[in-house]
Amino acid sequence: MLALELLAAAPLIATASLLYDGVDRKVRARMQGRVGPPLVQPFYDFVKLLSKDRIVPRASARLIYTTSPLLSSALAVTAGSLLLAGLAGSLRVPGDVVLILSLLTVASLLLMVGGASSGNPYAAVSLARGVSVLFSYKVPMMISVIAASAGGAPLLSVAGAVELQRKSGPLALSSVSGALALASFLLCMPSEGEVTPFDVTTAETEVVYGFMIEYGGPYLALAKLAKSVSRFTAALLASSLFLYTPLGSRPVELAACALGAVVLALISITALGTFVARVRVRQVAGFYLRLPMVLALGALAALLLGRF
Amino acid sequence: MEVGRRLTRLPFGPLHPATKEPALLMLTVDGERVVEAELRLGYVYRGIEALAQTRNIVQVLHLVERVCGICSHAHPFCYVQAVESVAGIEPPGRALYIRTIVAELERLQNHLLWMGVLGYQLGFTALFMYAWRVRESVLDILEEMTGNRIMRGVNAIGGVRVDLSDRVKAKMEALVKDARKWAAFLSDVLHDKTVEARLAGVGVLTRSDAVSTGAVGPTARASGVDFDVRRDYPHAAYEDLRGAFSVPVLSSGDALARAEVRVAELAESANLLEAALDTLPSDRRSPPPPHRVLREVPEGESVAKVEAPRGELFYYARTDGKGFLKRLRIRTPTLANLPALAVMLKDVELADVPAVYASIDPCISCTERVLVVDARSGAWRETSLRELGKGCGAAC
Repeated sequence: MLALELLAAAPLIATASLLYDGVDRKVRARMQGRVGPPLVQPFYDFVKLLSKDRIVPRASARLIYTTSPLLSSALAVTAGSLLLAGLAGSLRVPGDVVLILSLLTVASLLLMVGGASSGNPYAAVSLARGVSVLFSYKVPMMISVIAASAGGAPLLSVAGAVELQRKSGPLALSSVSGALALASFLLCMPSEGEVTPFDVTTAETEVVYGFMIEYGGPYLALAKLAKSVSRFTAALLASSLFLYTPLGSRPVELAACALGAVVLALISITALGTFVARVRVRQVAGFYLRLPMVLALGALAALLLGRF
Repeated sequence: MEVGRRLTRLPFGPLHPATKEPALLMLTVDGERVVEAELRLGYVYRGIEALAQTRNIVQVLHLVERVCGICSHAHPFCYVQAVESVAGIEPPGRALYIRTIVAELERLQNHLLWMGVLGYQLGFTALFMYAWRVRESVLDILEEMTGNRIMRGVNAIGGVRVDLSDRVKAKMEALVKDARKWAAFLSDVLHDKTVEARLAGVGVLTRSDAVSTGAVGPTARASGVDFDVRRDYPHAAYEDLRGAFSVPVLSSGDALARAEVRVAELAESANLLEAALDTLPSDRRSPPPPHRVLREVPEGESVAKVEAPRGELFYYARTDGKGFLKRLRIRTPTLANLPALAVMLKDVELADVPAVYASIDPCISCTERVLVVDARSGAWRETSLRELGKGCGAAC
């Protein structure tokens, strides 16, 4: 039954993610005084890329290079589907929040390793950068999620966090630990989405799209889908764990949750990425070890001190 | 390609999003640190100097306008001064002012374009879009004045080919006010924390390095070299307008200083434009017709220089007295700034290479020359297009 629900949720999360990408591009363009592409442009791009030839560099480790985008997008979509199932209340597994974040981490790592296996020196530089960035933001992100969902029942589950918020209102508005954890999570979201100012792994002018440099056609379509789903899943996770609002009916609440995810992503990813410059790799690591980490640990401390 | 245990050779170009024009920076990196940067050119050689020797003096005017798509006024501006100097032609005062006005408009659009490129290099797309959008208003005025946005064909030997109407003059006066606002806004943007963090202390060129490498223009002025052709070798209307502008000079020599100098120059160009428009002479006179110019230019040689947006632009012209050139030599500001780039890139982080590279505002296609290198002795010399056409033969 769960497998069927996950299968049904997969196209839903993929569609929502690509649609958010369209909103992101449109809003970003409007903020810069441009018209921007149509909302469905990411769908056009995806379909067009799928129809292109598959090109594999001669110097690449063929198996890793070709399978990584597929595995990465499958893992990202699975993470998003698990989250949707948890929100719908049909998945009540302890620790599913940790599982979702872990799947997103492995999806990112796989893509980097796959790209680096192309043999391109820029992809190799990007992998080194990516690993450093990944571990610097994933730690505060994980702590903030744990701090948010630890009060729910069953432990560390999306369904538990939703149940709790249906009773006592949005976590970020009703507890100090929730507010601190949301702030930390929001600061980590641009790295999850690999957007400015933290897009050091795929910076066009520095590493020529980094690990994505050699990918084209269907491989690029899947790689982009993986990134897109990871980005939206992170936003949906933030919306459901911190800002789930009881509105009486479950479908309305889910719609509000999705809308909340879009708004959070627009603030944390779109607006931030439009108005600031890219930072350096060591600045990324330095940043995450300071403010987001302090906020996440503060959230955990507040929870442990019984202020939840 | 592995060089040693930790050193990696990373080709930054010749086709790279950061370089725009085809140039190859072969970087040797140790992790994220650049140990050595070696610049290789030769991808866009067009043989303009050699071609100039096969055209008459008037035709060359149109040829040199095509040396650079951004400084398309600075090149003919400098060239006509060299030829007028040989021929002893005195252009009317109004023509000199119009040349100056267009030169300053060109500086405005160049610096705005450059700010956009800097924003792009830093991943700051809003800055890129803003700078390029406001640049459009400068290009619109140039188009209304001359009929073209880029290849404007303003200069003629002995004068100019376009006049300034009252309508365009009024629009320029409004533009001057806008330019001051852009300069103030861009100055604020440069001091945004993320921008400052990327540019301050990066790609430092000390004053002594700037002098020893022969850096020019904003690149040199950001390192404390107080030199500007407009003030120190005044030409056209700059002599009259000397009191209307100052030369921004900074001492820190980093990428931020180079950006700040250019932003300050936006405001100074606005001051110059305002003064030039206020004191524009009314002696309208057409330049001499081309056939007369061809007859009247004697055999001789001359040099001229102007302050192009990127720095000092130098022309040497030798005429044959029959309406042709025996030799034309162009030294573009980028050529003068490239040795400084090698100094700036030493020990920077890989992430800073695009910003440092952009900070000299390089124009590769203006700079390209072909060198013939003797593989045995290592001796090198420049060659002409005609020689290349015949094959290097004994020269190689």
